[in-house]
Amino acid sequence: MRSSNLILFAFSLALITLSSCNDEEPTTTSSYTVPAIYAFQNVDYSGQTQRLNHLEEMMTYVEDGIESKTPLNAQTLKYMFENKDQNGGGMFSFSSSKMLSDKCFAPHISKIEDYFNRIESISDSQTIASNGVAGYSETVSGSVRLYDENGMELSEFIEKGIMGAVFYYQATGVYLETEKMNADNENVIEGEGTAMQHHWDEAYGYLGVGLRFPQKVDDARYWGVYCNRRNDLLGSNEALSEAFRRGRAAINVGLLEDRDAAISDVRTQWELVAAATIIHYLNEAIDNIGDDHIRNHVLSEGYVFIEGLFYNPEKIISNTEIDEILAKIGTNFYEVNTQDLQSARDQISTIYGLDNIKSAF
Amino acid sequence: MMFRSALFFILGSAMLVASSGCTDNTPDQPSGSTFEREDMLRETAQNVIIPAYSSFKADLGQLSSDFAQFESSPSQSNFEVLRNSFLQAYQSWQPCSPIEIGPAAEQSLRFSVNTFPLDTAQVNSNLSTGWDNLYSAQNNDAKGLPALDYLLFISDDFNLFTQDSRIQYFKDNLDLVTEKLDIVYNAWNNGYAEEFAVNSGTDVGSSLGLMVNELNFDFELIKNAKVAIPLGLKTLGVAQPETVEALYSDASKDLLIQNLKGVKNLFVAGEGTGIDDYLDNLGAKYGSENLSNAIIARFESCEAKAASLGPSLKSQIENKPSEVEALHSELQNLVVLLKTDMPSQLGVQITYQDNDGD
Repeated sequence: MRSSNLILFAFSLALITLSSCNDEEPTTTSSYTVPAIYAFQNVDYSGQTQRLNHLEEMMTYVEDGIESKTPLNAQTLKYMFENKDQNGGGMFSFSSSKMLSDKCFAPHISKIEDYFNRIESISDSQTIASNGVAGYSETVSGSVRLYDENGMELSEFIEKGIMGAVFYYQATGVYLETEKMNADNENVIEGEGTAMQHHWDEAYGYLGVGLRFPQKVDDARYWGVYCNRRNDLLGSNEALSEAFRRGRAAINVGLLEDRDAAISDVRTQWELVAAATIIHYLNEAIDNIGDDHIRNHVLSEGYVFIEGLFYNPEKIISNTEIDEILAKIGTNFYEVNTQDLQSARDQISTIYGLDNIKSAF
Repeated sequence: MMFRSALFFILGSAMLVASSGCTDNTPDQPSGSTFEREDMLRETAQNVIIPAYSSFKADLGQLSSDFAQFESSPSQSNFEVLRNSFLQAYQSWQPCSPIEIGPAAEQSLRFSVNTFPLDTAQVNSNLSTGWDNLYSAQNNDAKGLPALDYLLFISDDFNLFTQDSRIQYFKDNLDLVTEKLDIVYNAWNNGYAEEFAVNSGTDVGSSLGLMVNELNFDFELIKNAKVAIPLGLKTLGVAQPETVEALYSDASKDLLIQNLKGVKNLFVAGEGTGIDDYLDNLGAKYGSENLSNAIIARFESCEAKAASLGPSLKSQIENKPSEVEALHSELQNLVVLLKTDMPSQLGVQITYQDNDGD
């Protein structure tokens, strides 16, 4: 109640001030149209693309190592994460001033680095992975994965961990937050637009889709891939990208209330993609409960996606619920049971209103 | 969260509309004829800026001689003397922090002297494998006073400080800070003070413009780097108490207070004619009271809130963050006056943006 009074006060303040400048024509706000794709002037999210490329090359290093059972090096991963010498300590195929580490949710940097240490420490294992034993797991079809003694696949923890702590956090928790959104929206920098437009585009860049999304989906990466995978059931491609386009269009004409509505929609739609993806992985785990190789893999993905829900400042789920769901899964993926996984899945589907389609993901 | 940002946005846009709608009507020098900005600048330089640098310089000199004393006869008691004079110098740095103008800006003084939190991994790697150049990018956050803080306070036993290359690292960092400060100090005493005074416009690049910008920038550093980040306000509520200033000596609280006093002193020009008097001359009001008084009152309230915290900012954040949150709110309230009301009354533009890169 008090807050709404404040808002009214702010409005009347604006009115009073406006009327005191009566020799000025009042600025007319034009309406705007939301384009079907991200077709705006002065869009540049190359910094985000470079970071996506960093993660991609990190994961190539990790996956190639696992595929060939070659020991991995934590320092190498750290250099790539920090983009040492602007080329990931010599590991990147391209040079860039950007880095993943300085955009990572700061309190969780040590957690990510701990994944690097843990994957190094188990990657020279000569034993086959099993409950209590870290090692490689290989199927007849040639799929090789590396699990720790609890069945956690650290390569997934690294990849999805960074998708959460950098991409999702930066987009929903930083670029769309008050501080970045209070930026200047008048001074246009060629190629980048205003500071506010640029921040908005940077948030979009972390989604990992191109300018022609959702018409063009085959170049989607990271979150873009998951958005596209959930599209059949959620209509997420249009829902999420429309919110981004609508917000950018509103910024272009200075309609900041519309922009704020779009911020909420981006956050909600993005979170729904994450939630539906978690349900998908939990379903996979339930369906493959007796297959260590598959179950541990999908649970690893699902587990880190659940942790990642945390980073959205306007999230639907609460921190307590996140902890409850993680506790249902537990920290030994060899010892999970169908009932607990179903309970974890059902809690999520209820929170997000996806009960009626929870089995379809 | 969202509601708050909506509120900020509305307030913000109300102000934006207000300022953009009226700029054309505002004379360049509103009733400035009866007020000599040049005198204000001259007094600010003489009463605040040069004394701040002088006293930091003197304390660095003391630190240096206490260090020499320790080096020639290492003992626990000489170590304690050295520690104390370091803390004194760290305190007297604080009022220099907001003066990142002219020579200090050219030297990136604040950045060289007090970038924190310290990258201890980098410091330790320097200590074990050596360092060529403290100015290289990898040492950006491994140098200056935070490095000295680490070397002197990581252990209470003076023996550790004498080991490896710690003495040399201390010396190199103290030299770096001293050299930088000397350049800035000499420039102010050899002509820049006058240059500062006669650059008396209100446009971008004028002394008043620079001072208002840097005063704000430094105040926002207090709010963000010294309070909000350790509190976890930038990290979805996850506190990071280890990011406080002066983590090892645990002197964060006192430094914060000295910094606040320093910013306020720059605003009032000590006993002289300052921005506060200029605002009064312009008839700047905040509600029914003078804007200058409103600003000073909030400075005092920020100081009082900071003073009421326990001796260790870090433990306070860990154990009783609500009081630090109250300090943050008060800092936030003052930002509005300093960054919006004051510049618009002065006809000065805030030109800095947070540029943490993309």
